[in-house]
Amino acid sequence: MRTTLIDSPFSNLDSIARALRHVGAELEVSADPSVLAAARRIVLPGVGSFAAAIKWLEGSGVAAALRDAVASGASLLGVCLGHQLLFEESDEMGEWKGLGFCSGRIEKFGSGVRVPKIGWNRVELTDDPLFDGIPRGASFYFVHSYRAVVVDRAQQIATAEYGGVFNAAVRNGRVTGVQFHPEKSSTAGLRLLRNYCGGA
Amino acid sequence: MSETSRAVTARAFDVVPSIDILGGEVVRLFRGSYDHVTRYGSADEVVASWNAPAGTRIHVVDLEGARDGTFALTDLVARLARRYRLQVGGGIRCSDDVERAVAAGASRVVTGTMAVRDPLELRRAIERVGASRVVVALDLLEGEIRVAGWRSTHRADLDAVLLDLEAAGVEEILVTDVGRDGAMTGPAFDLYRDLGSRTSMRILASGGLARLDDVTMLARGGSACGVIVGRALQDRVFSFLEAIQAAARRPLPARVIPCLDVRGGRVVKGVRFQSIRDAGDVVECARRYEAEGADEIVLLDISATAEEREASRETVRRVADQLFVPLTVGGGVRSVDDFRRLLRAGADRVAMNSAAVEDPSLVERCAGEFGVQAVVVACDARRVSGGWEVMTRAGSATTGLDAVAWSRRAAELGAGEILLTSIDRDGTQTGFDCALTRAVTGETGIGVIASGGAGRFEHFHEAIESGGASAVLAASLFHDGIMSIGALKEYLDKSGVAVRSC
Repeated sequence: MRTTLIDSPFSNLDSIARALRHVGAELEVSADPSVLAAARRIVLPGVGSFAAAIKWLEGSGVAAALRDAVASGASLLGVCLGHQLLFEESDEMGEWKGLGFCSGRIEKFGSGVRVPKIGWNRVELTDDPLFDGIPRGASFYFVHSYRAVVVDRAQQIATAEYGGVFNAAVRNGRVTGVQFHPEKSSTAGLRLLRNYCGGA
Repeated sequence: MSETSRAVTARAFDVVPSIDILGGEVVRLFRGSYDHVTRYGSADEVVASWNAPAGTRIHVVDLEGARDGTFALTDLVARLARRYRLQVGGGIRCSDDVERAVAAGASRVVTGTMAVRDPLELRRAIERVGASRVVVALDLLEGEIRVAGWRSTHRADLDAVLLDLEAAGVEEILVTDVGRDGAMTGPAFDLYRDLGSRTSMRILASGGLARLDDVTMLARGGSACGVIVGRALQDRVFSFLEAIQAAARRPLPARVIPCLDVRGGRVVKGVRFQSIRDAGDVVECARRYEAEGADEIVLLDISATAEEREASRETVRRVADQLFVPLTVGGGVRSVDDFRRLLRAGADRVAMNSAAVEDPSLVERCAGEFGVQAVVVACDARRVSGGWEVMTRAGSATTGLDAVAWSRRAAELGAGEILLTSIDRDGTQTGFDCALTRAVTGETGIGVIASGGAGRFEHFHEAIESGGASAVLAASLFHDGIMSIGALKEYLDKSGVAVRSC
């Protein structure tokens, strides 16, 4: 099955595309709402500010197309800011509504920890199929100043610790998100992308 | 009994809030003068404002007692002791005073002058109230013991005093670096590490605390069992809760970064991987380092011509295609456009050096355009009297800029991390300049990649533990096969530094 990577201007598109191709994904890159609405396996990348990204998603029709696709059973993986965009709201530079696929909000790390947090963080993984074959104590590469505060703990499929436990990955049905950068997390990250792409 | 067993089992780092009491009020004396007093309100109010949980250890100094030579806080101690564990000092001149303070409710009694000048009386006090209740305060100035309100030097060898205290049964010493007390210039990390290697007594650190990072660094360093926090709380630099969190903060794994010098698409210094046919191929080298456990790769473009620079960008593209750990690229970045071209070529982060010094607004513009996480400011520093000077143009040009001040400014302008190279140590393999690293980590609050001088495993450990570096970088040490990244990470892991396992 083809994997559709959303051609977002607020992302490190090339890095994710390279990693997806590396794990053997048959890749389609598009920001066309009609293409996205029909896509079955979608990756939403993202780097930068929540506000700019959500304005683009809503304004371009991509958000509506994603809602259609998910409603008709497509799977979706949000990465980094793409992960944060899956939630209901964010307080990054104002109050913003997110895509609302997962329950919770995006908040800045508390005082007393260095932000932006740049580095590898050990992640506590659950048995989610996204993590098949990845060692339980694996580390992933993170770059972020905000994190998701998840309302429904059942949706939290991985956590990490940075001045307290925070959400590292989320799942609600076929919608998943990872706060870290699998495309920069060496073997563990590539395995996750391979898992998402159906072991391609 | 319960007190003793807690002291033995509790290994957690203790954050001990502190109040100086004069006339029932929390005060601070300006340079020890009773004529210049800053008042912070009643002891009960100040303590309540910390929201510290019951059982928190609190350090109470009786300034009246210290002045008049008699312990005068019986009522206050009795009241606060209902909720907290009190450690009381000031005016404790003999074992009778120690016993009176304990009778009033103190869990611990702090004595300085008496302990150092009258070892017999110290032993008597320990016999009367138990070793777990007596803390000996050592005020040190440039390695010498100060007594009687810091005014005189006690002429005794420090090692001899430590041995005497141990022999008397003392379990914990409260060590203040007098030169730093109240100055908020950062704790005396070196002093605590040095003392930790000379005595088995627990060391409670005091003096110089300026920021939350200091608490984290002390807790992580392992030499001190806790820290006294006074002025920083009273002046609301941070809260007690924040200090507790900072002490418990687990660091992100320290990153190990090999640096490849690239010119026109080729690695400049040979990399000795036996299995690689063409040791000059950047892609092969980078991939090999990733496989060995490198947490990030830095490519430094030292091209001299436009053609070479274009070739280097093509190299970045080829490396990015095959590399799945972060890639930082530096060298020759003079504009937002240069920055963008490297990101487009596949760099995750871009390091700026001379151009940022010449035009600091470049840092701000790049951070605004690409985000602070993408911006690395490389600072080459050379030791000068009283500090370090920023050097540019590959270390050939002086700037007159203070390296610590410049790093702080770069962080304010939007640098996500500082790549800090000691020009003096670079290539010497005599160890990183940890004082430089520490000065910058303490001042900026952002991550520092320590560079220049690595020669042995211990050097990396020092840069992380004493210097506070988030990452450590080396070049020829790895390229020449003197040290493998895998072996280094194994060493760091065994010596208690969190690293990413692969």
